[in-house]
Amino acid sequence: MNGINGIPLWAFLIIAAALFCIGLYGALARKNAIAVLMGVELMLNGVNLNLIAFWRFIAPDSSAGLVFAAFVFIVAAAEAAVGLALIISVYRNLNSVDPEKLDQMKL
Amino acid sequence: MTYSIAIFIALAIITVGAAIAVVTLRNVFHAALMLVVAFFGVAGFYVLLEAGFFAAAQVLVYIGAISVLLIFSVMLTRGVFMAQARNQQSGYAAVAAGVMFVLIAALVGPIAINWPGLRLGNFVLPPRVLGNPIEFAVPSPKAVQPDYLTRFGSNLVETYGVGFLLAGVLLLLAMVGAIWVARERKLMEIVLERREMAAEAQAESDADMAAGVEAPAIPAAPAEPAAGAAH
Repeated sequence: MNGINGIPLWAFLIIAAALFCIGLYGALARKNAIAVLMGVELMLNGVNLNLIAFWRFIAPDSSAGLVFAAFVFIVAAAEAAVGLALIISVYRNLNSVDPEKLDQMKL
Repeated sequence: MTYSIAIFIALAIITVGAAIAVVTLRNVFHAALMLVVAFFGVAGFYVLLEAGFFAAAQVLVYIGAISVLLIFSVMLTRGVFMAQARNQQSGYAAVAAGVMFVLIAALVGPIAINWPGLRLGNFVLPPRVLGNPIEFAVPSPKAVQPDYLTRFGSNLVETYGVGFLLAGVLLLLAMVGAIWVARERKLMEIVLERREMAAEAQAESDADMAAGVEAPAIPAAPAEPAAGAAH
């Protein structure tokens, strides 16, 4: 039987790729900054799924893949905290969460 | 065996469907709830990959912390009304995401069909890592050792100790920075107020000039409004 309980590596990789690309679309196309952050979270989840799938299939004896995945978790938490703080600060000042309205630094 | 394949297919449908709902639902609150479903699906994939610790961490960190943070932010920015959910370049974004998916699928394809690689003289596709061809098409991966979590923990503080410490510092700085950025402050109001006052003074002096009255040489600079007074 190939793979883990019959599930091959490429199946996990395709799911991870789908999550990443859906997140990419969300990050590029949404008009609400919070929804953009949701897209980024989806992308990070896709990356993490890739890391853990490769760890399980290629190198289950080493914990490098798990350590990488743990760091992605930490970076995702930090990114969400800072990103949402920025969005709330922008909302207080401009009464809007549309990223396209944030053009004060344009010449 | 077949059970796990059925579970995988169900999880795939749930996860990808929820992810598509996250990026297409107009109501951001509903999108946040769908994001929770997608996170649960990914946790299920971690269970299928025999990384139970990461499934638990996914539930605790993503569903317990990040989703709640997102929902809080949606609530705090409740007043905004968006006529449409997507911006003008959403068509291009869809094309970009589709092309990205095709490219990644082209990378995954050789793994799926167990492609042995392309040899052109000394050049081998897929490329080698440290002289050894990468064995991606693992027919039956090794079993996870029962003490993998213990070794992960000790590796985290020994081999990768510097990264571990830096991650802690990063988290601390992110939390302090988040509090600093989100604190009560009306800087933009102060700037806009100052701009308005300057424009008013300019208009006044212009009107005086037009009336032939001797205008004051320079309109007095608007007084610095106290930062706390705005609120």
